[in-house]
Amino acid sequence: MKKYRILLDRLKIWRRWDTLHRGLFFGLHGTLVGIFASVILAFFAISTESLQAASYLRLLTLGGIIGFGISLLLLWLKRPTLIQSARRYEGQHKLKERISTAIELHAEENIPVEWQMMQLDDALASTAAINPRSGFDWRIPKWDWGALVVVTALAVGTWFYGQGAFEQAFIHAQEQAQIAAQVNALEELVNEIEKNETLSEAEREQVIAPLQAAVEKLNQAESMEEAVSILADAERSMDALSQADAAASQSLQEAGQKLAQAQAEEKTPFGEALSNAQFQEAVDALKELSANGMNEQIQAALSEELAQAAEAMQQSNPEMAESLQEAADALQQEQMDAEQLQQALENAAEAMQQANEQMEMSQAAEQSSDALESSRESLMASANEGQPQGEGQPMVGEPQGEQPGSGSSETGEGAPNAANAPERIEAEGEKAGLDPSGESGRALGEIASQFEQSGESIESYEAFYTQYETSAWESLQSDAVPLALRSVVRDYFSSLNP
Amino acid sequence: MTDKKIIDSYLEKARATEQEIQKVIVGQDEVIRHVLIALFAGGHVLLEGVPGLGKTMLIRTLGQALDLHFSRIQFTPDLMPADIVGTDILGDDHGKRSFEFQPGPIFANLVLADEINRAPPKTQSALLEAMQEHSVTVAKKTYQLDEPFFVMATQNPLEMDGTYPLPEAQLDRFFFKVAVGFPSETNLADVLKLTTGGIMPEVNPVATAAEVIEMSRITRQVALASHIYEYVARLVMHTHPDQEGIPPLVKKYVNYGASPRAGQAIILGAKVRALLEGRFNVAVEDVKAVAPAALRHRILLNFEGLAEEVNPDTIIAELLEKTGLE
Repeated sequence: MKKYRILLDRLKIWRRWDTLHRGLFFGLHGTLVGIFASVILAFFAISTESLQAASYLRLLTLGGIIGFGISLLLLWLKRPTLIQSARRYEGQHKLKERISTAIELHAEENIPVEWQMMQLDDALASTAAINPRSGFDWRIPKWDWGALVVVTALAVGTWFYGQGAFEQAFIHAQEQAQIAAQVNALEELVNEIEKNETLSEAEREQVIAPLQAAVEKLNQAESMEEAVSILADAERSMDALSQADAAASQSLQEAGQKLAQAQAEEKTPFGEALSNAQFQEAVDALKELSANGMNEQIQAALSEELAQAAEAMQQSNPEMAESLQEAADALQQEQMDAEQLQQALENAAEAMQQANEQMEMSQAAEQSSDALESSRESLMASANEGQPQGEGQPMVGEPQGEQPGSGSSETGEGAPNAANAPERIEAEGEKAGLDPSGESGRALGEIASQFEQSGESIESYEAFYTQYETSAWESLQSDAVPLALRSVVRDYFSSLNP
Repeated sequence: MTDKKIIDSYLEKARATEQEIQKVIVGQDEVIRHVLIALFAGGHVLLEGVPGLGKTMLIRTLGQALDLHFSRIQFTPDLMPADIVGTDILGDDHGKRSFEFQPGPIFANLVLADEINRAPPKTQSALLEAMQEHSVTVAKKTYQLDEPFFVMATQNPLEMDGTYPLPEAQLDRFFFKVAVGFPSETNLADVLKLTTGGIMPEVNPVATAAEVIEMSRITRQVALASHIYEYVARLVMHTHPDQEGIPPLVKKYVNYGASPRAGQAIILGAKVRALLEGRFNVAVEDVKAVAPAALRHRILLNFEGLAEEVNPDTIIAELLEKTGLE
């Protein structure tokens, strides 16, 4: 038993060296395969411009590590049994099946002990002088060297081949990061609106819907100009929503200003709140009034305040003005019964309540519109920062020295978005830095103004923009535009987005 | 006596026997080794070679060295089976006549069947029962042969005139077929010097019949690793042309592959060789060393192989090269 243990110990020592030897070479093969697979993956990713330089290096490293790991895992899964190791051991040191036979005989019950011992002694004698580290060839075979050189060459070649695509992918990633930041900002805005208790459920839904639609579209946006377009659309929706309720807001504010300017000796809580632009408090004060418990002095003061408020909002909100005036009239009538007076006051309070809610929604929509505008401007600013200026790639709309057709900007330092912003182009008399006709001197804004002045009909800017944008997109998709100029085209149309 | 001591004695006697034979037979060490392997494994040997190479001398010397009862049968076209196994003859025992069995030359420990392929198949087949069962049957009565019993047959190449090819069943009963080649020039000079001088070397008996039997018993104790068994089985299977993964030469030239007896012969022969090499276990090299002698007479060539005079040894060499351990 002791001799058998000695034999196994010797075999185990050899097995460790064998495992190390096989692990190194198997690991090398796995690493090469992993890197090769990474290069192939990278090649496909480069063709779609979705891989950055740093990501390529990470991919290679990761591929190598995974390949090495998998190879070691496979090696472990296919680890040799004791007998297989014994056969490899005796094969390496030409032990003529002594070890494997001794191990098998040890496990056999039908073999005479004397024969088992003789075999064991023979096996021990044959392994006594063997250095377990000897017999391993640690040199890398020439085929492995060849594979190493090929894979390295492929990796380096792909690195140089993919430089242009790496840059494009970097720009795209930056754009996506900017878009994602704006998405986060919009989501925070949505959360804020959801927590706004001054709005009813329906009003919240009304304000949030365009924002959520914008968030969903932004999540799928592939380019900066698309994102800007989405934000602009959402901004328009918000503006429309804000303007729809602006009348109510304006009426309340006008009423408040009117009361604030009034020289009344004593103001009721309603009047006080309204003059301080605390509209909800004013509504609450109106609701709390009781027709029975009101003295003449308060009644008169309130009537006066209501009348002034009604007068102030006569133009902006006739309906609410009518309700307030009815309440003021009711307060002045001596013969009015208390129930009718109370009803008139409640009607006035209800009308004011609605106006106040509309004003809150208008404010929320306006706030959202501002946030959207901020996001859009932020994206446009980011796009401008990403322009390859100073690298011999003049921006469209950028001043280009003495070339014919170059427009003149106000600053002359090439701020294409500022110069070509849609609002500026449509603005009368302002100069824009783009003249597609190739003639120098006049800006589009001036041309449009002339047409308008002469009474000729022209198509809307949006219609033109859509046609040009569609054409530009087709060009970008069909590779008609050189890779290096695509961002320029994209940014140009992004800046023109109405 | 322990097995270890028996093995030591085995080795001593085997080497002594080898040396005694080498006194007379010069330059045929491999042939002598194969004959001894077959002998200690308890098998019969077929020696093939052109006349005059010392085949008969080798067997006779072996008989002298082992102190065995030796007999020689010269096979001729008119040799009858009864001339080999014996026959009942009418005897007179004090006036009472009765048939008595007169044993033939097969009743010996070591039988030299010289030029076995000179006799017709009917006579050759007289050896079948003796070789397999170690007994002969004459007039419905079976007689047991003395142990150890070995048939050492010689034959001339089949293409020579006046030869009858041995039937496959009989060939299969030979443990080994040993090809006796022409000696080298140096060895031939030694042979000439030895056989034309006035003094012939004296061969001394170094082992008895009982010791040979004991050596056969101890041979079977030698151990084999399981993968060696598998390797031998694969070798035998790969001699069959209808198997998968066989060498191209087997597929092209072999009609019938080796029988399971070939596998037994390889393993037993390898065991003897391992002992003679001083080991207690069989190695792959033992298998490879004895495989040609065990397979060459058991591989039957097809018409194409016969027409192209393909040597079975060529096929076996490829078989050994292409069949690996798994």
